[in-house]
Amino acid sequence: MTEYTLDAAVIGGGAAGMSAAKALVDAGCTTALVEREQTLGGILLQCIHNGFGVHEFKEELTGPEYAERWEDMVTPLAGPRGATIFTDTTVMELIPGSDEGGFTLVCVSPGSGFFHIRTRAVVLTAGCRERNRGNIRIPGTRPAGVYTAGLAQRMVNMEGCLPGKDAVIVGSGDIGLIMARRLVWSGCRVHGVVEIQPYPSGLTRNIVQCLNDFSIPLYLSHVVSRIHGRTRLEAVDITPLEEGRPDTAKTFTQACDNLLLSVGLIPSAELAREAGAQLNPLTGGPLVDCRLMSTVPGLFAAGNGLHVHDLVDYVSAEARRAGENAAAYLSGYQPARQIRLKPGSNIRYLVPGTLDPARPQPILFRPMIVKNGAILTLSLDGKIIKEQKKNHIQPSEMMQVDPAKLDLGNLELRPDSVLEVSLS
Amino acid sequence: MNSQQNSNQNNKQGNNNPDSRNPAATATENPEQTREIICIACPVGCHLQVMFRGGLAKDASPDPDTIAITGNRCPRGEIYGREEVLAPTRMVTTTIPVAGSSFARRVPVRTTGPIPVARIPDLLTQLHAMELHAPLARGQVLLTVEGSENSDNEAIQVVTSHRA
Amino acid sequence: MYTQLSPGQGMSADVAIVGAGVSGCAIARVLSAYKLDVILIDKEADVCFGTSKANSGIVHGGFHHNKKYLKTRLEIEGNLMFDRLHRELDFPFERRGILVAAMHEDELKHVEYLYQQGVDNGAIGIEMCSRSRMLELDPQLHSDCVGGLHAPGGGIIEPYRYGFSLAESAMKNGVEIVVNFPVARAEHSTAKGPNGQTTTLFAKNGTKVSAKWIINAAGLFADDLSRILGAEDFTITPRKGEYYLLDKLTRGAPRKVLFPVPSSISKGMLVIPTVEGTVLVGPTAEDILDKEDTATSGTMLDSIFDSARRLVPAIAMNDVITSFSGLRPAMDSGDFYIEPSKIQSNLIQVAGIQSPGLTASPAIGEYVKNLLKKQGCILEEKPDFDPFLERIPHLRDKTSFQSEELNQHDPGYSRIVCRCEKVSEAEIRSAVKAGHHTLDGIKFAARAGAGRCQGGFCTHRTIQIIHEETGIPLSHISKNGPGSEMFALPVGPPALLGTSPPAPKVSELEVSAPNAADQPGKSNQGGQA
Repeated sequence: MTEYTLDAAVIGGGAAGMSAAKALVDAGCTTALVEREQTLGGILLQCIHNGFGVHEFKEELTGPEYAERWEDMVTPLAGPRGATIFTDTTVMELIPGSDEGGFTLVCVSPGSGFFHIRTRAVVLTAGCRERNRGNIRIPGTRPAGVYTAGLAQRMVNMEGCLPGKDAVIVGSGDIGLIMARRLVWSGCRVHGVVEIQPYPSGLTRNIVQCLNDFSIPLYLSHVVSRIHGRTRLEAVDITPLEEGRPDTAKTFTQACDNLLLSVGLIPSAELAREAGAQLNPLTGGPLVDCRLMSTVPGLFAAGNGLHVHDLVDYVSAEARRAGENAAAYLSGYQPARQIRLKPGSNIRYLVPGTLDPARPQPILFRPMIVKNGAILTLSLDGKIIKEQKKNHIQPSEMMQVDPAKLDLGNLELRPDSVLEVSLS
Repeated sequence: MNSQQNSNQNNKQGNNNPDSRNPAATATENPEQTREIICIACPVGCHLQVMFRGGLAKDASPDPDTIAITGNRCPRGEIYGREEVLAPTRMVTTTIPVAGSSFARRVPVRTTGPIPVARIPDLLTQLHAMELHAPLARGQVLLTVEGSENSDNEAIQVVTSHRA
Repeated sequence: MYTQLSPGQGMSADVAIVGAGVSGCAIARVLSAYKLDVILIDKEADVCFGTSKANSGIVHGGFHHNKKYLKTRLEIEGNLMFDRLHRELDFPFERRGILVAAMHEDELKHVEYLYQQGVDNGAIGIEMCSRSRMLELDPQLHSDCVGGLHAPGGGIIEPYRYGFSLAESAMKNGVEIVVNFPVARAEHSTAKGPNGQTTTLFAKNGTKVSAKWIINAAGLFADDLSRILGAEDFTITPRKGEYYLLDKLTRGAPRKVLFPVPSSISKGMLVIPTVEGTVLVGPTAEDILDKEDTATSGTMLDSIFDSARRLVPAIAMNDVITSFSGLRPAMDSGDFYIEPSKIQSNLIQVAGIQSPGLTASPAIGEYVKNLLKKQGCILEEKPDFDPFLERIPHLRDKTSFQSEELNQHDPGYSRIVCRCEKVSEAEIRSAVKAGHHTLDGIKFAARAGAGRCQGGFCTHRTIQIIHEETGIPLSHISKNGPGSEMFALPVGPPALLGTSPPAPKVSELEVSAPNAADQPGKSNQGGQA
């Protein structure tokens, strides 16, 4: 069996993987980039709409364009410059070494069969998967026509096949909204988007351009309460929520032949879990420290495989940090101390979990409230060290603070210091 | 008995904005006096009230001088609101079947800039009836969208947004 | 490969078995060892698409019922036949053992009763257990357990792959399987042949199958078929059982099949490990009216999980991958009804095969064969009967070195299509070649789409592979047969732009009925993922 020995391996060749691999190679590490599909790019290739790259490239690109720009940067790194790119290759197992550390990746590809990659560091950039009908437990029959929005997106955009001619969409996240427009543009009527929350989960721009442009109703505080149809979906029941409880007397039935589910994403953390990494129940991804390193030494994570982002630009940036941190880890860098980061009021989670005062890196988080004119507060050991006004916050928009701007050097840090981030 | 109409009024957002692109919403014979649109210049999402002095007859184009906008919290809202009412434009992206590619059955395409909303249906109908042949490079020009220019007066084109 | 008759086409045989569930498949396979023309027909697009695919997947331990019932005698006999069948047919099966756990002292009395019944029935190895013995046998068990019963002969099985392998073995030995053939009417010939009359079965589209002997193994529809054949009048009542399937990464996976102490209506809510590592929680038991109503209700979710957590505290609702429900064909007698018709002499009734039908199925095959013989059907052994099926290797069961060998044999083993269950392209292609042309068929046969993402990532690939192997256009590839096409339309001109949207068709329901049987929507068969 063929065996490759390299400094590092990046698992997943989407937006995060390409960025992490480039950062590792730029730092002088020999790096394997492993991608299961035949081309690099990941899920970006089916996201044909525009709006990608505003931060990374200072222009608005489509998903495939964003992917190809990165591919054009990463492909030349192969060979003498230190990258080995394995496409059409699946990582079957990620085995952490015993004493001396390191990892073995058991890989398989039609070109070369089974082979092993041995490395001292791994960056997991495996993306995320969609929550499905089983996860949200919609009662009713099990006909054809009930699909996750991502599957429908793939079938419409890359295969040219429509899921039907009359759709209802569950979930007002950006994927659901963008699919509403895509369906209308491709020949399928959309009769409504059903959102369980009292506010839309997607960007305002998408509400306007994907729903309002086509007079598609957005049912806030509503749920799909039942699925009808023997072989093919025939209709769904839609029930409004009153103070969080279904008001079944107001249930109405909407005829449709397809129902797309855009009800959340879950990081694909199975390889991390199998390798022994602890998961963060709030993000679904691995728990990581200031270096984006999991509880397994040498195993890093970034992108949607760490926590679900809403902008690809932030994915690329986070993965670049993970790649740089993995390179620093390989050269022996260990943070002298770590400040614990604590989610305060109205913050769902913080990533990463700690802060290295010597190498402060951005802290990403999701608010739990919708508010105009909110105050972001950072406090160290109970003392407010910074307050910042935020024009508008909502759970669908990830926020970040850069502690590099905090002037940590002048603050009194104890070994058990805690930095709390909160919103009010 | 509770009707859907009832629940819609309480909870439905986004389809109650009378809008010239949506004849259903302007089906009344009375001239339109105000129109509410949501500003998308930033994430705040101000609800803009666009007033037509003297009213706007059904299917008529608004006169720039009769428009007044309120509800915006910054000057960008005024600009967005006027554009959206006078000459709404959108970016268009879709995919077109491609023959002879080793990895793709369709290639993604985009307009090089926003085009008038009224031109979108015909453009999509035209694009969805096309068939391309590999190899294709990213940025390859497929056609020019008639009657659409960007701010530099260059014609808007439809180009591939990935290789195939 | 299954046969699909085109309109007007007909076939004839010595024996026609109606209903390709596990009973029909087991009978067909037993009969395939004899010099007989056998046709097995089913109304669905694949075999085992009814009751047989949506059940607990348990090989029962022979202690639940008194042996005065035929079903108990066949259960005990069937249980013992599984080891040989497993060696011959290579379906997923493990004798994990069954525990009945008493949670209160007063439940122990009933456990003792079951134990005595098991001893009386001859259940092998059955034992009464102390609390510590129970917790040792399955550490996942709730520590409140006060004792119980252990039936080591009980086991777990993947019901659909068991059924598929019976069907495949039957086909290998000459049985024709005709799918998409719902029997609409029947004619009995007046001419007297050597075995009496011949019966012709007609489907709606005019296709027909004639045979000297008819076996009614039509499951939920056995009463309807009996009426169509002018035979006995009886009633099958569908009893719905709802299940929840948990991710294989759940921390609540027991080693043994765990039963609570049963009530008078049902055996109660079980926690069942599956051979593939997932966990089933269920089933509920609810008598309903519509034989195709496999809708899940969701209303009993909390009580189902409360009940399951009384057995295994680590069971979490967040681990749910999917839910499904199956219908058990119950008869008033509570027993199997397997006997020659007293009205139509060439008909054998195989009806009311509810639990423990899966366990009993190998014995049902033998039992029906003997009935046929008694009725005068001449059975002469085929010298070339081959009881074995070639093993289809599954990548997920192999070490990387074994996988390397597979890859050298067929590089399709090196391209992973279903990432959750690690199913390769080669495995999917062989499932298509074996006749599974629907996505559900592929899911049951190869497990592609059965994992935590439920086909979100692999459905487009599976559709493409079915298309490549069969030539069926992408738009015709279905979930589980005609009418359930997945992506039936091509991308076309935009919808609704520049025109006013038609008012959505909206009806009002006074109250959203919690009982699925009250719903107007019809359903298709639920399936174990």
